[in-house]
Amino acid sequence: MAVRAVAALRPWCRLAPAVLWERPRRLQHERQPGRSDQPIQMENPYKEPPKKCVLCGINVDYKNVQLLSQFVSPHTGCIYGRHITGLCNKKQKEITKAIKRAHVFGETVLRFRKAVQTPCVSGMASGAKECRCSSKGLLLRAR
Amino acid sequence: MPRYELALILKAMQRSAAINGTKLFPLLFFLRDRLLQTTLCLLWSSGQPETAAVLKRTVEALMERGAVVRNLENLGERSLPYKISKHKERHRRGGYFLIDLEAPPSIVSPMMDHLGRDIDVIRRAFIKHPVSKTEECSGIIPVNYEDKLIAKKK
Repeated sequence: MAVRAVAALRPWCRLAPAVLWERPRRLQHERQPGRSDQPIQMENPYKEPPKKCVLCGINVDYKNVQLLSQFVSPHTGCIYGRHITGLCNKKQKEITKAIKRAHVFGETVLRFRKAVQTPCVSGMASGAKECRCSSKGLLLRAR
Repeated sequence: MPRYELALILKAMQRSAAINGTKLFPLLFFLRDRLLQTTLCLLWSSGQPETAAVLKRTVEALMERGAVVRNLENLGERSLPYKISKHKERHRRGGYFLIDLEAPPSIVSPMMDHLGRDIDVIRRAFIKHPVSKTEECSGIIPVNYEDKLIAKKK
């Protein structure tokens, strides 16, 4: 009587009889045919897209003086190098050419030298807030 | 025919009172392009007939040599970034103009000579028309320094 009651309380035993699902017993020395243990060859799915420089996709024009002036020192008018701007090869070259063109065509001010202390700018592209060069924040020669 | 851009800096003219343009309109009719007509009309009415005349003769010269003028833009009159000495005069202000044209490459040198002889033109420059390249920039591909080093060693 008690057994029957207990059986009624466990209805799931009827739904999943033990015979249907058998635990696969695989022995290590018996390899399954057509299945290797090696990892599946595929491209790294977590690969990050390549980093883009600031001007990627922007058209550089010699008439766009505002854009060009961002890559020129406000104190001396020198064109900043790649280590300061952080641009890729192509865009750095385009910018340099455009700035030199703008100089010739009378759009931008030419470079001028001043014997004034200019703040040190090297290392800005990598995001460093303080420069680590020996002049400690100030360049004695105009840069 | 390749596309060129002619960047011109013209001498800044003294502003005179607005001239009655009835006499001058017939002269403009031969220019087929509406844009040119509009720009020149505006210059004329704003009291700068000399600038318009310079532009007109420049465009005429271009068309004579077989160029097709597409567009004429006025970038305004502003003070030059530095003093330019040209034709025995020191200029501080100039009118910036941009002529978009299609021309055979043989036109460039004779046109530069022609414009060099013009007293009212301060600076002239022929540039290949900057086609806006918005190609897919693939971004900065990190360089594999090891490979470079090993390859060079061999």
